[in-house]
Amino acid sequence: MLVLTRKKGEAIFIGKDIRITVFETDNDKVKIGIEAPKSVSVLRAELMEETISVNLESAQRHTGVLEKLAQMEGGIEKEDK
Amino acid sequence: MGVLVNMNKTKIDMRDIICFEDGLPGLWGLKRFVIMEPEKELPFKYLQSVDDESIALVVSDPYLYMKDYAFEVSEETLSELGAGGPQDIVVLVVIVVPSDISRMTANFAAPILINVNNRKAKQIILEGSKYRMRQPIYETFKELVGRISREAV
Repeated sequence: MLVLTRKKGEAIFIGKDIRITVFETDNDKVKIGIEAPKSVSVLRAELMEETISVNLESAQRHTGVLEKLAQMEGGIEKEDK
Repeated sequence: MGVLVNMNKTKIDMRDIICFEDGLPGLWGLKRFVIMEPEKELPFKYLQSVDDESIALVVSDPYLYMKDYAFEVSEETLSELGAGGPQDIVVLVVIVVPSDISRMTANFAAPILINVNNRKAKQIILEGSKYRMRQPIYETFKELVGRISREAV
């Protein structure tokens, strides 16, 4: 991983059309500005990571879904009585 | 400017292959999927990988669970999908069914969009939306299953 040190107001380019500027620093927080073409998606990493986790859990755990639901429907019948 | 997607106005044909050109987050290498119905009539479907038969995500029509679900889609996303507008798109959400099914959740913050005309699909992540990646849906699910089994009788 490339690690750079930048001061407030300084920027870096990624490729020719993505520019990242440091706006503010405050102890453990950094405010950054991102200029990028609209076709480039910019996301907080935790959103992408959580989407990945949810997709993998959905894909892995479906085995046995029907069995679990069979148990559940039994539960519903009991509630109806 | 984006386009508001707030309803599944069209139905999707189950037989055709759906193509995620960018892959799905976490399953980047898998691009071709089909939609399969579970054996019993249930309020979800499977998004089954064509390239790896061991991979199938549980998905559902979000509007079964949240009638007022709505989000904006960028022009870039629409043109990537080759879609003219919301009328071309079917929305699905990814469902997680854990071993304790009462804790099942749906990911309303990262909907899957499918252009029904050309079968191009993409999972988008809604930045800064009010929707949750793990929205509990068990109570609604139970009602839906109850309704289906009553109708079947």
